[in-house]
Order: sequence, then C-alpha cells, then structure tokens
Amino acid sequence: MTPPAGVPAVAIAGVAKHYGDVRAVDDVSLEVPSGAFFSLLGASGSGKSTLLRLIAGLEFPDHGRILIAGQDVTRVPAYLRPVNTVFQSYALFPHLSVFDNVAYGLRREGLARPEIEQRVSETLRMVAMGDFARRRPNELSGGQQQRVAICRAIVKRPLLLLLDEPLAALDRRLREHTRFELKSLQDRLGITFLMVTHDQEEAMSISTKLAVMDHGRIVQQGSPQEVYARPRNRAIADFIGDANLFQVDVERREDERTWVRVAGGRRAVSVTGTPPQGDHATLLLRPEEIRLARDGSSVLDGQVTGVSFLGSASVVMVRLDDGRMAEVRAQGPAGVTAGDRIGLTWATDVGVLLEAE
Amino acid sequence: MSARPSNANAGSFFVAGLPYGWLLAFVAAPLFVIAAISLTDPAEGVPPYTALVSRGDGTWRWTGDLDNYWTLGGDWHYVAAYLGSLRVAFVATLLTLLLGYPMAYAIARARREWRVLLLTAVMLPFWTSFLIRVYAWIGILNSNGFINTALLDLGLIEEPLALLYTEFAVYIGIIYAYLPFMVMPIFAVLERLDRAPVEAAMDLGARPITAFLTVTLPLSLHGVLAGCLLVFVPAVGEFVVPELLGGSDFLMIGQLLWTESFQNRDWPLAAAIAVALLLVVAVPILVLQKLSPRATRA
Repeated sequence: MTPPAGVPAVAIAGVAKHYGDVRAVDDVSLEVPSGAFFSLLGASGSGKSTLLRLIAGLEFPDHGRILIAGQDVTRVPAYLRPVNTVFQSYALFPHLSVFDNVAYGLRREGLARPEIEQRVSETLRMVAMGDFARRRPNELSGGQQQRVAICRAIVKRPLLLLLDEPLAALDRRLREHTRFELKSLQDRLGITFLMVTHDQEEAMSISTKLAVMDHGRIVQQGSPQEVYARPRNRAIADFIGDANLFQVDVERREDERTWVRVAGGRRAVSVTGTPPQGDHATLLLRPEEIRLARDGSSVLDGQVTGVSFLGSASVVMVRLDDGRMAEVRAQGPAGVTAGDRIGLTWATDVGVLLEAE
Repeated sequence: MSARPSNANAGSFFVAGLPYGWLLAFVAAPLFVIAAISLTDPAEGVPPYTALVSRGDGTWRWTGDLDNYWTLGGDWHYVAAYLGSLRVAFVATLLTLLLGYPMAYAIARARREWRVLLLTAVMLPFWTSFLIRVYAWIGILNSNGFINTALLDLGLIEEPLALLYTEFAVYIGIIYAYLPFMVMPIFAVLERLDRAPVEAAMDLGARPITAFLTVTLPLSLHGVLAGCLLVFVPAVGEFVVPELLGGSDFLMIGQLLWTESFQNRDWPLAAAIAVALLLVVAVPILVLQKLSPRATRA
C-alpha cells in the first residue's frame, strides 16, 4: 500500500480554489512525506478544511495539481482515491449499526463476507469498540462515535488518512487522551496522517511536521520545533505558542549575531541569525526563555501584576516600566508576588528577530 | 387553594379539549352513524333505511345485521372494484413517487433563492379548484384535444389516440392531482438531511448512485412513507378523477359508493362500502406505522 520510497504521500502544486471572490485556497504547494503525521494548522477560515476536501476529492481545484503517491488525482472523484477521511462531525451513517458503518467501505470494494467480518472486528477491537458492533451511532457517546469514525476510515487501509478537526468535539480530558491514541495508532498502521486543526497545542504535540495556513496560503511549514523556535512572522509567532514581542533597534550586525536594544532596555542584547532589513525589528521571546532577575543584571524592569501557579511551572505577568505587558514562565514556584519590583533577563543569543511592527 | 391553578387547568382543558371536541363531533360521530347505517336495511321513506333497534311486543329488539357486508363480499362486482381501486391507487402512488422524489431532491438541492420559487410552482395548482383542473385534462386528452391535435399536425399519428376515458387518463389525473402531496414531505426531509454522511459514503468508495441508494434514500424513507400515504389513501377512494377521466370498463370504489348512495338510494349498502373502504385503507396504514419506527429512526 505504501508508495515507493521517496515519493511523497501527497504532493500539491499551485492549487487554488475560489468561491466567488473568496480565495479559500490560494496557490498552495505542499508535500506530505510518506509516513508523516502532518498537521495543517490555521484559524477558522484559513482554508485548511478546503484544502483537506480538495485532497479527499470532495471538491476540485480551480488551478493546480494534486498527486497522491505520485499519481495525478486532480480530476479523480473521491470514491476512486486511495484516501479516507475522519470527518469533523464524524458523519456516521445513522441508520446503520457500528458494524455496518465500518463495513461500508469494504462492501463497496466487493470483498467476501468472511474477510469483511474479520477486518471489521479486528479494526473495532483495535480501538476497544468490539463490544459495540451491534449498536446504532446515536446510542454511543461522542468519544465512541469518534472511534467508529476512525475505524470506518482506517479499515480500508488507505494510503493517506485525512482527519478534519478530529478532536474538536471531545471534552478536554478525552481530547488529550485521544491525541496519544491517534499517535500510537499511526505508529502501528504506518499510514500517512494529514490532520487539520486550529489547536496549535494539538498540532505541536502529535505532528512530525506541520504547515501553518492563513488566508488560503501556507505561511510556514516545518517540524513543530522549527516553527516554534523560528516562526517566520509575528502572526505565526503569536499563533504558535505564547509569545512576548518587543520592539528593538538594531545597533550592530555581526556575521552570526545581531546586537539590538529593546525599547526601554538597559543594555543591548545579542540575537543569532540574520535580522530583517532596516534599523527596527521585533524581538520574539518565549515566556520560558525569560528569567526573573533581582540582582540588577536585568535588561528590562517592571512590576509583577499577577502570578499563576500551575504546579510544574508558574506564569508571571509583568508590567514593564513603559507600560507594556510581558509574560514569564518559571519552573516551579516563582518566588514573587503581585506588586514586587522585578527585572527581566535572558540568555545570550536567545530569541528570534522578526519584521518590525 | 388559590383560584389560579384551577383557572389554568380549565384553560388547558379547553385548549386540549377543543381539537378533541372537533374530532368527536366531526370524525367519530359521523363515523359511528355511518357504521350504524351499514348494519340496517334499505327502506322507502325518510331516512331511507330501517331502524337499528325496533320496539315490538313491548320489548326492544336488535334488527341490525351484517347482510350488506355479505353482499359486498359475495358480489364480484364490488370485490373487483375494491381490488381495482387498490391497484390503481398503488400504481399511481408508485408513479407519483418516481416523479415526485427526483423533483423533491432537485428542489432540496437547488440554490436557496430558487427553492422558494420552485416550491411555489409545486403548490401553484392549488390556487385553482381541483374539479376545474381535472376538467382541463379532458381538454388536453380529448380526441380533438391538445395532445392528439399536436400529434396529428406533426404527422406522427394517422388518427386520434384514445387517451381520454381510459385507465391511463385516470393515472394521469391522480398523479397530477396528488404530486404536491408526494413532493412536500420528501422535500421537507431531504432539505434537512445532513450532507456529511453522503460525502462520507463517497469518501469510502461509493459512487454517487450507490451513495444515494445506501445513504440518502434510507435516510429519507420516512418522508417517502408520509408522501405515499398522503397519495395512496385519497387515491383509493378517488371519485372525481375516474368519474371524469376514466372509462366505463371498470369503476373505482368511490364511484360505486356514489352510485349506491345517490342513484340506488341504498344508503345501508353505501355505508357498508364506506366502512369496508376504511378498513381496507386503515390496515395497510397500521402495518406501515408498525414498520416505520424502525426504518425511520435516525
């Protein structure tokens, strides 16, 4: 079932889809490596679901080409593509039992009854739904329905499994649990997963690779670590994880690093990497990259406005002397309380320089 | 105790009682009268039937019997009319379904601004009297009517086709008259039908026609059932259409009922025909309703 080595599970070239004046998907090119757990991350209306539907064959692009395992499927209808989908609403067949829901796709292949029964039971057992085969979907909980939806899609052993916000309808605890189940399921099946989500935490925690979409375009792709550490612009930085964004003046450029002075800062700091053009830039610092300083070694100073203790970490909100807010994440208890004067500092070469505001 | 609850009780009793009162006065009571008349014998005078109980020798005596029903069951004339009516109603319902389902489907899938227009078009005939619309078909199906004239002018036929006063014309009339009753309930179901399961079916390898047969159709079955009942039930007892468009080779049960009642003044037999018709129609409905909860629970 797997394509030849090196051939991406999905390759999209210059795909566009318009609805009237709305460019839902705007000149998107993308490669999903075979065996990846790939996430399309974006806010609602960013075009990620449309892109998924284009890959599923439920919509056809206005421009561009879609290749699945090297085969051009741009004009191939959904029912002939080696792709199956876990729909956001699950889209189970309400008039069929769990067994018949899962067997539906195999029956369309015209498989023999014993093989269908064997594969359906096997797949249902894989997600601990073996005892529910005779139930109707409306007799199941949301989490159980979701498992059936997954079973129904993977029982066909597709080349590629598409998941449209698979966890969105679940409550928080179940969502975190199911996240790991999805990941382990993918490891066991070896199927390429392509998931659409608006939840950056979800995307970061299970994806091997992700692409961030905005206004119908892919604005950045890479491993979760890469995108988190080196977001391409302020919007992505803000969207992926929590971010402190400081206005800085570029003071000196060296080969490997740049010296910048944060507005209202006591001293210049160095940042690795090539800065954007111009004398002004934005410095991105993650809350966990900033340290609280009480010994005068600080770069910025301010006053603590609030502390939330989360157990393994504490989040400290600081109002800087120029009125801007900063967020610091410290390991364990922070040792400060609201109202304390406090300094902020960070290690040399930490942070990312982005375009100025 | 305050007066409020009892007032509220009286109010809700009145609101609930009104439809029940209506049903009692205009459905149950007439039905009871008809059923009673069906057990009497015809007689000269007003009313033209014998009493159900008579007083003789100082005691009340029950004089009703099932003779009229034996007459119905024993006379092939009547049995044939029942079977013929059921057959015509069944075939007409099936044809109406075949015509109405695609219409309902197309309207449900049409763009929102078109939907209202198309629905209005379906309902538009109701603005004209049923009787006049059936008369119009005489003009269309006549040997010198619209269809025959057109076919003759085109040279497709040598002499006029016998369209009017045939069973074919009866089908035309019934399908035409009852099509909206088939389209409406099916449309109502299809319009609210979730598209996602149909897309899921195609995603799982079902061609559009298979997806329709295995998902859309089963999920719209209760609309189909409602539409079929709305067409079948009145079609069985249809009088106007077979009377105006049908031939003399066979009579539908509604026509027989009319004949017995108005020409032969045999009210008891006419009443028996009506009661038997009710049973003939009610039994399939009850069977369908027994079956439907399983099929329609979504």
